[in-house]
Amino acid sequence: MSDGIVLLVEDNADDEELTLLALKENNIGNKVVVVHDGAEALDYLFGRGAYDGRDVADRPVLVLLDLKLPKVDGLECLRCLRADPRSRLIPVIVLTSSKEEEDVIQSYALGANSYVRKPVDFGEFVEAVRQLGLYWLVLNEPLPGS
Amino acid sequence: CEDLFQSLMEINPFFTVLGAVDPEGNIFCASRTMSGPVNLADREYFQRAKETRDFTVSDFQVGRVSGQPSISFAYPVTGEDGRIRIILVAALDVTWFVKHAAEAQLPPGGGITVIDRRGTILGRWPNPDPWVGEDAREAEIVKTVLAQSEGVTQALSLEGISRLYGFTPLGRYVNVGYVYVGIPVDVAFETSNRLLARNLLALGIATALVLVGARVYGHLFVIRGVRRLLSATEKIGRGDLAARTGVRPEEGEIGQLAAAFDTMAESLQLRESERDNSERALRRSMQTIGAVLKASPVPVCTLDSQGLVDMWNTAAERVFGWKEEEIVGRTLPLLHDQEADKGRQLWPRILTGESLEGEELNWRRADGSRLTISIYTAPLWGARGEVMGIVAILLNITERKAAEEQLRQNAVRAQLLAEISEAFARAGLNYGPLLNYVARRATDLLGAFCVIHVLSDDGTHLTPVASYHRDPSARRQLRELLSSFPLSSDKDALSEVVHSGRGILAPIISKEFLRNLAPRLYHDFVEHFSIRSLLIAPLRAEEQVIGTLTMVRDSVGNPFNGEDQALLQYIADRAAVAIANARLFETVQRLNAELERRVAERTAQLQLANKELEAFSYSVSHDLRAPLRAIDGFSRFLLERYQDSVDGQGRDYLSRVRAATQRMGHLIDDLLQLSRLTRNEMTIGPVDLSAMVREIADELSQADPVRDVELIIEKDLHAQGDQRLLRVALENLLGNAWKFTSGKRSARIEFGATEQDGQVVYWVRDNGAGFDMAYVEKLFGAFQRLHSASDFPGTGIGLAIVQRVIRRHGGRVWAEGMETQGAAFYFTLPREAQS
Repeated sequence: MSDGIVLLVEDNADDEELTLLALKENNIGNKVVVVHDGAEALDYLFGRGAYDGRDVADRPVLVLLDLKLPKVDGLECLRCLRADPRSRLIPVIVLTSSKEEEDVIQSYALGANSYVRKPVDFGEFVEAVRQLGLYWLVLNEPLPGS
Repeated sequence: CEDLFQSLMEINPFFTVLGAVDPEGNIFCASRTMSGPVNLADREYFQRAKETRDFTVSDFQVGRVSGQPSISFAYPVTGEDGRIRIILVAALDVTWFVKHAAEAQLPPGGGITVIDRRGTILGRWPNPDPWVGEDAREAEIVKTVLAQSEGVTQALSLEGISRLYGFTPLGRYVNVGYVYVGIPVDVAFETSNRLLARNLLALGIATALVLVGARVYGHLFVIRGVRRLLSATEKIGRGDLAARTGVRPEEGEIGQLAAAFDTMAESLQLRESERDNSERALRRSMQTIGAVLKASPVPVCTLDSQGLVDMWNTAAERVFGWKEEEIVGRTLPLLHDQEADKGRQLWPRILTGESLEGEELNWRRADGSRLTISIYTAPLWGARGEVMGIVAILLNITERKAAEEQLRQNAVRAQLLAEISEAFARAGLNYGPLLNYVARRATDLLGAFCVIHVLSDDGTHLTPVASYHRDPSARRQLRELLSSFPLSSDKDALSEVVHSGRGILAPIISKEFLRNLAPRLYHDFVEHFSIRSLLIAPLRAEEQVIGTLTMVRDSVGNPFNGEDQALLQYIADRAAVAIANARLFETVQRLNAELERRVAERTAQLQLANKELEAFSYSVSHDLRAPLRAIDGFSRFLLERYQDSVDGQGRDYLSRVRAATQRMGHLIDDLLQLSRLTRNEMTIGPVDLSAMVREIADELSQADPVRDVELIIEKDLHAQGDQRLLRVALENLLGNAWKFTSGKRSARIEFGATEQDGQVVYWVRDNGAGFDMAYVEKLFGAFQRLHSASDFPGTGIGLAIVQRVIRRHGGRVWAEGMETQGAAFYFTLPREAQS
């Protein structure tokens, strides 16, 4: 359960901290890599820029993707991620404050595996993260080789 | 048989010859000895007798056997087999008759002559020799007789003696010759003979009658005699030599005829006075007829066989303006050569005796003006059955023709006008084509070419906007010339029409006049297009002159008249209305286009604004929530992980912080919902409001099972609308009712509908906290609250949402309430939104 990287794409430091706290609260021990925008996420995935030389074969088991991001936004990031064979099959959970219908539809259309809205109430937020972790990291059979 | 014939001759002295002829025409037996063989095969009467096997009579001729002027008869005798065996011929002596007539009638020195139609002397008494058989065509009297046929004249006789003659044709229907009777002039003027002189013609007529009678009734005295002759010959042929004809002078028809002739001659003399009377009567009736013709109110004339006028009555003088003396002896005053040709074509028909009945011809009056005449004719028969002339009745139908033409033109115009009116109505609102149509139709109807000028908006310029020339080749030139005029002068005819609003009628225009009138710019125009007659009509629409319609005729002698002007004005009036409509339509179209452009602009702006709003909403949903979550999350961590460091008061504060963040979260959610309500597309369909209210109420009860609320929901209330939006609205209304009745012991919430002014009004009513009507205006504003959050929690957006939903459906929402007594919310969903 503790093996496999979770890539958290989150530009908001508070949300990053809260997400990490929630993961910890739920005893999810996976290594969490945090990137702060879509461009960095793609760099990480494809071993470019700051992540030049990273072993791309070491794929995250799960991507937690915020939508409102600087540089390359969440939806664009998702599109690139799904367009590349190296990252095409990685489960992506859109984790966002947006409840816009359009965002939900777009996300699924671009191949998101799940769409979760961050509740304002932290208790509810922790619960949501718990269920996510339980499902995607424990219950769900990951892609071979990840 | 010669003896037999001779004995017959003796008792019938007027026979010159009697004989028998074989079918080949050879005379084999005759009353007189012939110097040689005589053949009659070429004689017309002989041939006819052979052909018809019947009795025939010849014209007056000189006999081939007798050498005397005679009328010959032929009588075919057929055998039992029906074939002609012999033909008996007889010749009647003309001179014998003439002599008897002359002896019976004439004073000393008088004489009667018979000539054939070529002027050969057939018989004469006295002094038949040496004239009989001679061609006397050149003699003055014969010339006159041949020329005039019948009448009285003074002329030189064959012997060169001046005589008074009466002459008449032999036979009224077949021209076989003439008789003329003459007496010396000095004899004629003796008192005792004056009467006779006057009756010379009558005498001639009497003689002619006798001769013709002899010819026509020849069979009476020939056939009977011949029949006896025949039976006698047959008897002789059989050997009965005692046979006689039995024709005795005293009982011979011919003798009787001779006697009758004498009697007639006597009676002629006896009835001289009667004849005089009848002649007078004749003259009188002739005079009467003449007077009637003269006085006839209808033009009448007679023409001779050359087509020259003989008689011309008073009415003709009046109608044609030609005096009788001016026209007699001349041809009829037909209008043109063309008409004269037509007349010439008719003439041969007239000469064959045909009557004209209402033939129309154009005539020329003495003053040169034209008349249309309907001509009726009857032939005047001459003695020989020839047409001597005609009598013609000339009906002046000029006015009738003009009226007919007018009528025809009116009909044509009426039809064209109807077409134009309809076409203008149909021409629609396409300005350019309409103007061209007007120009074309007006030209068709009235003239050679047409120009339409339209006044500029500022009223200073007249611009040629359409033109049409009847001649296709001139159309382009007309257009080009027109386009080169900057028409602005306020002194010319067009401007005058525009300013006065009255049309111009210039029936006859000379080139010089135009050259003087038109500004220099137009000279080219005037040179190219001959303008002989001009009409200008104002185009009037709603009391305003919007332009002019100019019509031109380019041929001389075809001037416009008042009627044409009226017609052009009629067209102009209709055209003006059509033009004004088209202009109006153009303006409307322009405004519409402008409007559409603005709408598009606004729409674009709105779309932009909407986008911005969306972006804003996105930010709100995303960015405003994130800090809230942080505040809430970290407050909770503080409470949980650092509770030892925070005292009770601090914990209370942290709880408040968390509550506030949550309320803020709700606010944001509601705001987003509100903005979404205006942006999203509506899907209109049937909505069961009663069921919807029931569902919402059930949800409320489940969420708050402690409450005991009486729910009264009217059944089967349906409406057309957006299911999702209406649910939001009802959730808010019922939620409010639920919330504001929380303080009541026996809470009651009702949903129903009433009809009001033909409209269904739905309502949600409760007996809760109610509100002060003073603040009813604020009720539906966002973030407006009439109660404290501690009493009744809420964001103050619910009713704003309700209002927005109802308005999007085109309905209206309002409220009634009273503090502590409850509130009622009403809304309508108009039918337009329902369809």
